[in-house]
Amino acid sequence: LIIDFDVHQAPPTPKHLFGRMSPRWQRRLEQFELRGPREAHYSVSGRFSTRADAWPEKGVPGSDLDLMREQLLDRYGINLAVLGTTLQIDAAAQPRDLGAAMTSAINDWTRSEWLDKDDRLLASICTPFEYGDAAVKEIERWAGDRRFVAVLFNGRTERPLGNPKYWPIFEAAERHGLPIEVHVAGIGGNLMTSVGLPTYYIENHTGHLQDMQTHVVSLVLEGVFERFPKLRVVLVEGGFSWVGPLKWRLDRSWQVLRDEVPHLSRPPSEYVSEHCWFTTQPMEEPPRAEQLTKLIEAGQLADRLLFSTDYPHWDFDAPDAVLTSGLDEALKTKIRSENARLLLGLQ
Amino acid sequence: MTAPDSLIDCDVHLPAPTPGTLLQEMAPHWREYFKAGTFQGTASLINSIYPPGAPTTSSDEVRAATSAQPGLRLVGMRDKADGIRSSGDAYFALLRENVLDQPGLEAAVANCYTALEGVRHPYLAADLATATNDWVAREWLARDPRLKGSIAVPVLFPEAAAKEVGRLAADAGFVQVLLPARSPEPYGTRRYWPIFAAAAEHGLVVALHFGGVVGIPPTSSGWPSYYIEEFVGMAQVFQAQVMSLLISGVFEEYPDLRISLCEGGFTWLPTLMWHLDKRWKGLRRDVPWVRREPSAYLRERVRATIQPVDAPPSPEPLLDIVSALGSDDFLLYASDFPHVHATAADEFVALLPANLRANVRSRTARSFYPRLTPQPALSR
Repeated sequence: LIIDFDVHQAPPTPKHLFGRMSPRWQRRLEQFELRGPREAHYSVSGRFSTRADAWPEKGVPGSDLDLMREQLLDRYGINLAVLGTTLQIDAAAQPRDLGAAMTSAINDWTRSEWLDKDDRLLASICTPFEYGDAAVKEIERWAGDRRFVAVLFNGRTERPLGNPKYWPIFEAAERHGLPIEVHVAGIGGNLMTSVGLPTYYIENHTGHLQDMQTHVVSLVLEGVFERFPKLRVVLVEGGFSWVGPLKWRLDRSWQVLRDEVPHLSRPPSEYVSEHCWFTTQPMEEPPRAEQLTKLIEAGQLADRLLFSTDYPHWDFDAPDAVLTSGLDEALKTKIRSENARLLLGLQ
Repeated sequence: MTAPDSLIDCDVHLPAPTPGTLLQEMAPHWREYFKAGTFQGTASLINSIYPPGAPTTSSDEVRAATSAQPGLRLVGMRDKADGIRSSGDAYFALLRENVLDQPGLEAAVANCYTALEGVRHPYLAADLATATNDWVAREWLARDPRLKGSIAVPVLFPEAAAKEVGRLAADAGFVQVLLPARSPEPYGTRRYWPIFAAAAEHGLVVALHFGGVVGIPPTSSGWPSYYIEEFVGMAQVFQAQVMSLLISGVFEEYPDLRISLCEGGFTWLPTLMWHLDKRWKGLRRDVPWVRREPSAYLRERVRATIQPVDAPPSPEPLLDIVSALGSDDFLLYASDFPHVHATAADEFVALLPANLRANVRSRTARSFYPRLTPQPALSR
């Protein structure tokens, strides 16, 4: 059994999706295009940062279900795949009502063009997450559809994710038993790293790891998991070998600085252990295989890792090429499917 | 060879001078500028990095012993910029007791952090740096030849910063250039290269140190709410800088450039190495000057101080991390006096096998810092 926690579906053209929106927003997009904070240009990311062989005859990578079946679902025997479109990155950077209209259109399209057409597909709910009220409305629209299994955030947000501005979304997600999924990238209006705009794409791409660490630190230290004790968070595509060392750093810092955060009742690492999951792609590849096993142990991650491919992006992890290193079979089974099955409450 | 118990402490702190103290060193027009209230000093910036009352900033003992010192912005003390020439005797006594009197102490590299990166006035920033460095040399380095200095520079103005480095190059009491970990653009960006060129030319290490007040949020997702988030998050700031430096080609351009990472932890380094090396395989065509795996440059040209240790509950995973650094010659001993951390530096060092322990205590620093390497050429 294989569950793939990170697959990107796309509309053949943005217009395909915008057609589902009201005339007001269609006209706005025709005249003024998608606006919002713009990122700098990084040269190697290429169009859609995708695999060269993932382009269908028409449309863009990820837009053709048949090709996705051929290259991913059928080829590797994927039993379930969780879809999340990168279009949410743009949607979340729009004015509130446009973001709401776009994410509604994305979710409608995801249901009718993807979930209804292949039983192996699940999806995350797109929301205009910088606006809690609008995001909660969109969550309510889909909470009854069991094929929507998480609420999607992007990694570069306006504020670190523990900020109270996001709490209404956490409240709704917790109430409906939906995990929060934080997928790397995003346009939050801040600079791309904690020290400003980098120069090269490899810095942008490696910087995703730091974005994810920021959110774990913030969620824990703001007391989100005290306030929402059933909330679960999945961090997608941001690595996982840093989790152990970050837990130690959190605990040691808290030992000295805990006066500032009396809203925490336990060492910070315990919240991470209980509430956070991590996807595998891009797979950690230390020089020696046993280093990976040791870091999984040190981070207490055996029950917290979820397999992912990131199809159709350039740094795709094939199921038969990763998870081959020295991990033992029981752990591989957990990573391939068991952890995801338990997280999502699937039979 | 020196005795096996010799020790080089690569990160200790000096109190910051008040503006009044510095102005004694500066041209008259700056005194007018100060009297008129145009410039009121960088205390609020320094305090945002090291809040005077925070338990991490200093122990109660240090706070109590130094609170009566006029003319110094001692760590953990709010005082008026009254222009009284400083007398650092009480602080020096503590420094001697806690650092200089340690058995085998060969050298201690001292940092005087004054948040000059927060001064946007280019000429004021440059003159403040000059005054700070002269004050450090006279007031502190002169007290004990084992106490070594870090050159403060107006980092936002790299040409002026390089000039300040050049001005002090003949003074063997300074062994490194101090840059705050946070900057408004990553340090690999070409605009900063004049600083690296000057440091490399003069045999000075460039120290990236915890801190920096530069007007941009300290995370890629904006401002956090609590100091402890910034404190923990400084590790991510260091990661962004290391990533930038390794990819930029600055190590290829300046073969003598050496960088030390101070007070940012080190347990995050293996993850960063693995991820950079892996991505480099796929993306190296964009950065062809990076001829080797990025981690190879790191092991050769970068070092990290050990404090804060960020230790796990049991020692094995920590020793795994040390081993994953892939070099026995990477970590530098640091007490980080007078800052307070959960794990004492010596507690960590005691966990290490004997050979590694000797490296961390002094051998690595002695071979890494050109100015701590015994040689007759440099004199103070």
